[in-house]
Amino acid sequence: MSPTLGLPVARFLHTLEIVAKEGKHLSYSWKGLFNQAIDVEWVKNLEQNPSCAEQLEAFVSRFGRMQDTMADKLFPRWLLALAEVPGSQIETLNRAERLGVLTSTERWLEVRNLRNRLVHEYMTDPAKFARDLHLAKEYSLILIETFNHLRQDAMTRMGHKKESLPEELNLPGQFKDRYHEEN
Amino acid sequence: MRLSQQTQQIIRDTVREVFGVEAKVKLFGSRLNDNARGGDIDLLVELPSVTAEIERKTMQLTARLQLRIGDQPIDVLVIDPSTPQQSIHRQASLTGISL
Repeated sequence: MSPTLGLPVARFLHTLEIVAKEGKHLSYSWKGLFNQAIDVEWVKNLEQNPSCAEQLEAFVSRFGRMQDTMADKLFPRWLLALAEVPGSQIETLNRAERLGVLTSTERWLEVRNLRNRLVHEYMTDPAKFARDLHLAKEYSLILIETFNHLRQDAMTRMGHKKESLPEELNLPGQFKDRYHEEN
Repeated sequence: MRLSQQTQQIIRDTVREVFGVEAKVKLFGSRLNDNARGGDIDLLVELPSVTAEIERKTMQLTARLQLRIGDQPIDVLVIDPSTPQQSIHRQASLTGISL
């Protein structure tokens, strides 16, 4: 490996490891949170239920963190590892879509915008907040799937061995099946 | 109003595409102030009937607008007859200008 190629590839792989950890933690919070029936009543009861509120915080924070790291770090570093020059965030997303690791730039922006709303507009309307959480439940899968695609790309396009990469991420099968039926 | 004719047209078209032809859209907030600079594009979308999947459609609208008019902060409030009235909605509707 030439010295000029070494650093970008190493940085990409390092970031992939970080995102794998973020994904595992997101997955854990996802399962714990959506094991419960999330509805208006559940949201209204949060004030009396600090442990549920903490669980919710963990999920929102992990959802946001994984989205941020992927958009701000992983996609640009992946392109740099491919010896490409990343442009604006939308240009980078479009390139990822074209190379097949991202299903849709538009949907990724939806995920990003929901992340902003969950972080900045905290529960002013409980019904709306409950529906936002259900959307975040579904959008989490886009993050996980995109990670898996990037991991796959590191093997197929970059020629890395499976053993040198983090493991594939999973979300519960039931939800995954439903998602694939609908799409 | 600090939005080009072309941007206003794209906003109108995209709102109708996502929420249907009955949807009304208003611009409110700092973009109405000709002396200010920059700032979020604050939009209020008013729907005449109760609408399914408002949140998903709101995210879709924002994403499409960011793709069509450039990646910038766009804040979209969407209300239908089932939305609990908050003072922000009243203010936005009162002070907003229809696009």
